[in-house]
Amino acid sequence: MNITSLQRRRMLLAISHIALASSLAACSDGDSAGNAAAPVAETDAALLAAVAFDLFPFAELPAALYAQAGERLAAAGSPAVAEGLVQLRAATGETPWLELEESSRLAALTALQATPFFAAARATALEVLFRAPETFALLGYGGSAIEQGGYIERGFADISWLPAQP
Amino acid sequence: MPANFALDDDSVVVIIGSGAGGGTVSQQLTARGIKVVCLEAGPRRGLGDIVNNEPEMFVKLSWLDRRIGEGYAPDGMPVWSVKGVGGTTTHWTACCPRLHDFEFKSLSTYGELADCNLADWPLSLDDMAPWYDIAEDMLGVTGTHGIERLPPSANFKVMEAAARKVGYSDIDTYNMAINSAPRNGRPACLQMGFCNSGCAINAKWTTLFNHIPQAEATDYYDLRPDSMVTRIVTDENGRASAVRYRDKDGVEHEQKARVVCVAANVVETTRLLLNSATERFPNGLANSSDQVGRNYMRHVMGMVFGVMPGEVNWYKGTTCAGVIRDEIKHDTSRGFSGGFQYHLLALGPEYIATNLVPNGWGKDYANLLLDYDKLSGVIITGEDPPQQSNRITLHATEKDQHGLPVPIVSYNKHPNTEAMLQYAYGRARSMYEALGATRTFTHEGFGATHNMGVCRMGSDPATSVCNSFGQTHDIPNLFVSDGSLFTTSGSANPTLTIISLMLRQADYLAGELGSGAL
Repeated sequence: MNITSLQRRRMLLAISHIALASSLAACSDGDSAGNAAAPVAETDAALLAAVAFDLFPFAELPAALYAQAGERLAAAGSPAVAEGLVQLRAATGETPWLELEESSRLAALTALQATPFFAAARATALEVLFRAPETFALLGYGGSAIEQGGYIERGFADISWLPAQP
Repeated sequence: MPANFALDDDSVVVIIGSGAGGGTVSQQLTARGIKVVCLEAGPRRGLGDIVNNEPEMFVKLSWLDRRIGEGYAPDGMPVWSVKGVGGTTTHWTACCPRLHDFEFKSLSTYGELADCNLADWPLSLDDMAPWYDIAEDMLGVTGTHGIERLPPSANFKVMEAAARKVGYSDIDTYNMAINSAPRNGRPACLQMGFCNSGCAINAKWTTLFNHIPQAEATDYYDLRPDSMVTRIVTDENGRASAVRYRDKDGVEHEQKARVVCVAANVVETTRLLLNSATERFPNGLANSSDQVGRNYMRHVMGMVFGVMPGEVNWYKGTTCAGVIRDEIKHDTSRGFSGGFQYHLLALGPEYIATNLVPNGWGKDYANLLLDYDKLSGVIITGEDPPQQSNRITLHATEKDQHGLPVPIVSYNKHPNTEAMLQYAYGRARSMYEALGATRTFTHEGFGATHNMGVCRMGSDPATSVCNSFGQTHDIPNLFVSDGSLFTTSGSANPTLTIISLMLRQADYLAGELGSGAL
């Protein structure tokens, strides 16, 4: 199924809300000097969550999963990510990332495809998304079946579409 | 009862490594009442440590110390091996084919290949057959000795139907060291998948739960896990006399030895021999031929995936239980020398999402990944010709956490390899397309798991490192006991051949010890 523009819009909104809420929570219960930079970090995490979504857009997945990818990337504090954020913002001017048209976001990401930032964003998004039970369910992946006695009694040999063999 | 031998006991055989090679020599020697100290770099794990979670097991099992890859060998992880008791028999897929007759005689069969170091093995299939027989029975290899084959999974059925469409016919669920029925105290396979993560129910054979406990049941086996060997010590007569190693706390010990067997998998075996250089052996031990570390082979490897017209659910079932053997032959009309096989393959969502299209992303890619349940796949394993320039060396300055020079794995594909790979990709794509695949993909894969050739066997000490028993030409009481011995790679998964060679080595070694020759 192809994801619609409306679905994408909704997902980005949800991601930005979650990222914002979690950044604020982190801000209120922390007391380290690093919190001076909290408003920036919050925006970074939300932006990076939206990037994770543009990389692997699945309308069926919870927004919280993308938010988690954004947070993990922002928290890594790598120079490549910092540089990528600067480049993304420079490419898009005054408009906040989350309010950009899809075509502008994708163009900005495409321009960065060969950068270490892109590689880091892709790797983190893959790790967070493709180890999550929600994604396993979406892809039809059963994963560990030790608890159920494996797949020997649970369809390991089942196939419906294969023509009968001569 | 596990034994506990003194460091100054110079009557022991010291075996470095406890995988397919070291585990087998351990079991064979101790069964004959020969005292063995086995030094294993990694920890000892139990069945409870094995879970069906690929990323978790990858980190738990893999040898992750710094290694440098050059050329076509991926930097950081040029080789995917295991650190722990049992070695790579914990993560292997348990495919157990024999090498074919012509693969023992590649030089005679193919003739010289440009820039290659082809040679015939100092052994034939006839010489090896009795040892293969014992090994297959020992491991319970399906499809041999009356042992029933594993049942076909849906993924296998797709592979078989696709293969028959293009005229292949030598197809079955392969020869696997995975029980199709309970045998030797191990249960039957439950078709769980995750074979590469270690088998959580012990249906797959591994030295960890077979040869090692069998050796410990004698009074002759002293296994020391978490023991990283740093040097083989040689005496004034040029014989191996002791082995230095660091324990878990980094404390160095020296174990005296009557015989030393190096079974550390090609990278570590090479590093240890080269790093044990002395004034008498300035190029490293057993290296008068300058062949130690050279002729490194890793099999021609590539994967092909098809997006099929309906669900396959390839993750259900034994990962690699399927083979197409029709291309295992020498037929230069295909544009290359040597043969290859296809075997069945399934991979988890994270690996597929990462690699199906290199750097793939965006809406179309996400839609493609939604077809995960429709994927089917094979992996190509083909003969990789030996080249002098494909080799393992030591970095001049960079050291690891043990103070050892970091190994460099340098590997480039020979034109024969490239030609074989492209042909194999094309045939597998046609096969899936003939069965209605909407798209097909190829992927060249991860760090090598089949590692061979850096201490090749041969009859001429000027051009080889070891004789056919794995005894080094230069130092009679120093043996190589792993896949490093392979003269050429053939197309077969190497473990069964390693185990068979070690049964033969142990028999010879016991004889030499008994007669006092060693």
